[in-house]
Amino acid sequence: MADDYSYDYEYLFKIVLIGDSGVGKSNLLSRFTRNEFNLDSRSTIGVEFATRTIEIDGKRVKAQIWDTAGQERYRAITSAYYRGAVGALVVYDISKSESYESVSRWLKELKENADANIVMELVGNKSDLDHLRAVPTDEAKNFASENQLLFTEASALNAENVDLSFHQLLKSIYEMVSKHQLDVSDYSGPKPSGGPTISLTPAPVDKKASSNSGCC
Amino acid sequence: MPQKKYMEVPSDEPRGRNISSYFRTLSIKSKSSDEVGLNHVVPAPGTPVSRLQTLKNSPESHRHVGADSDDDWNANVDSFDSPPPKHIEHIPRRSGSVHSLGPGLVMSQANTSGPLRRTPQLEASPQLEALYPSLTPARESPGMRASPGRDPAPDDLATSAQIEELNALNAKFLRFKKVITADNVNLAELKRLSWNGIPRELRAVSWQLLLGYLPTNASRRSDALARKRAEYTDGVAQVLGADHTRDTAMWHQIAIDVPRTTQHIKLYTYAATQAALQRILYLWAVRHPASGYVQGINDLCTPFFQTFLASHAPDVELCDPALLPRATMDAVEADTFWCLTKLLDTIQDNYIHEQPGILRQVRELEGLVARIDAELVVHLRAQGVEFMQFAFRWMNCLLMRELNLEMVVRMWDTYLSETPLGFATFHVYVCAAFLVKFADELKDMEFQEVIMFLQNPPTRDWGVKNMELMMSEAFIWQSLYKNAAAHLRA
Repeated sequence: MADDYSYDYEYLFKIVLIGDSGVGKSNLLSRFTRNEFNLDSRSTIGVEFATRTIEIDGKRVKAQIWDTAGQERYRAITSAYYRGAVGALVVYDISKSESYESVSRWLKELKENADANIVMELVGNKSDLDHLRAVPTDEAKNFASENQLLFTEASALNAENVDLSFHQLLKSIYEMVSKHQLDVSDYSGPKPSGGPTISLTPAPVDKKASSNSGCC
Repeated sequence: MPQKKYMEVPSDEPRGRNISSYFRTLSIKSKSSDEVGLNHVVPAPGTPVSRLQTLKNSPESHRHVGADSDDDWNANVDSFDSPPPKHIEHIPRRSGSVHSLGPGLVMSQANTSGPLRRTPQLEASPQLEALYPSLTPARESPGMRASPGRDPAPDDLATSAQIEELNALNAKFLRFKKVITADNVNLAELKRLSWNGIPRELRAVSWQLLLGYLPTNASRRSDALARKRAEYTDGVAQVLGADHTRDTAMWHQIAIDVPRTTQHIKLYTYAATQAALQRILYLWAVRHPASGYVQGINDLCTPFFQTFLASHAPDVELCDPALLPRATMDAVEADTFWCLTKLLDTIQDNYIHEQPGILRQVRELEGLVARIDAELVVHLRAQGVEFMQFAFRWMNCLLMRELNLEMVVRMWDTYLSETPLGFATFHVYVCAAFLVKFADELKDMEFQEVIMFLQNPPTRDWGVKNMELMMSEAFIWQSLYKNAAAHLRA
């Protein structure tokens, strides 16, 4: 956690965690950022926040993650946090088919409220509950590839694939951003309006501004 | 006969009877104020004493606050779990046999919370700020109240301190009892007393009176309760019956949240508790379609449920409701439903589409804090911190995620004594007092630290005194700013 408070990072990516109530979003976050799992965790009200800095291609990348309440009623509040997010983890519970069926609704939410180039990953949580599985891996995998989503199954409970799912999302964002960076430097004319909205935020100069929105 | 009627309300049985008989058998002669060297402030019971007045004094004189019989109410108390003693016939004066009292005796008084009198004269802001260093009052040890000029044995001091406490407890309890057992309860008087904390044994009945659930007229109570309880039972039977189409999404959402409600307290892990909460929340949700069930309302159920259940189960936190008589549990469940309904009536806008009530409260909070501590608001803005990011939850769950249940229950004594009820308006002032408490730390933090700090504020060690100080501060901010709407819009 020490790194969280330092300026020792080169990229700051704002990520949102979304998905139905009870699928384990908060525990995925606590597993990733603090390596903790809480069996008694209470429902998330509004949004909660945590960060972790990891290394990708020798660069320090800080993930600023907003964990959102799953209940419909909070959508008006939580969707405000989609703005400026460069990545989204859309979480379902592999033992609850309704939570998987909601995924398209969550993708629609993202389309309506988030930046167009947001990188999305579908995460089937609670893979430890394989004996209660209601969503076949292949089905979710196919759905993910049809919709250009990254995909993993993970377990916040036993930590399996949790780091992997976040890493893969952050790496994908990183690749996109570094590519975009090159594109922009090649481009000498006026900045096109409606251009790519994904941005990197160099630290520490813009830190304060970026902390607010996670992005320009 | 009013007394008989009163006995029908849950809080008086069986625990209430125990405690009141305990008070009747307990007979202690108090030392005179001169004897204990406290002659400068010994108000008659019920005399308002300004907490601010005492706080402005030196720490030394602060200790003598103990002279206010009310302030002794819960001094020396660290735990509130011990049951009251069954019977005490005699406490030897100066015998030094403090232990004959048993720790449970002293502890049992704590639940009744000490009084923070509303201060009649308002202080100016700078003086208030001077209060902040003393926000965490040191716990007084019995010896602190030693009378100067004498050098009695420590045991003797402890005994006399405990005697004082018992008498203060007794006096406060009797004042409440007198108001509550009147043929016609004087609500204004009950509010005045309750604002400063309600004795645990009388809390259930006091809350129900303050909420207007229990009629002030004693002769109407048993009929009214019987009717409301039957109405609840019928309501549940109807919405869970075959003729009613189950709102599965709502039911499901509640079913997800109930098993993760207050799980650190054993009571809430039992199936019987969870089934009761599920029914209460579902019936409320069905009857309030504009909002339906919203996460966080489950938290708001628990202070009622636990307080009402405590009248029947001395060790309420460990109680398995399945072991209690069915009729008792039905009554607790119904009373919880109706009182929750009364509370939510005052904050319905918090839970309807787009939650406008919360947006308004958060805006008001920001405006208010800008008046109280402009520097803090400037700092938060400079860091890009928006009030919505941390205060949304404060409003949605009435600070129940930030404070332990015991603190919340004490807070509700005050909220329920406010007119109108404090959950919509007074709460914003409490949130301001809460935030400002951490102002110094926050001003040294950057965005991320601020958010993380406020997501998990360091309130674990808070006691009732911290809570009461916060209530007093909120009261002052409210008095200063309530009708100055322009301040809050700024």
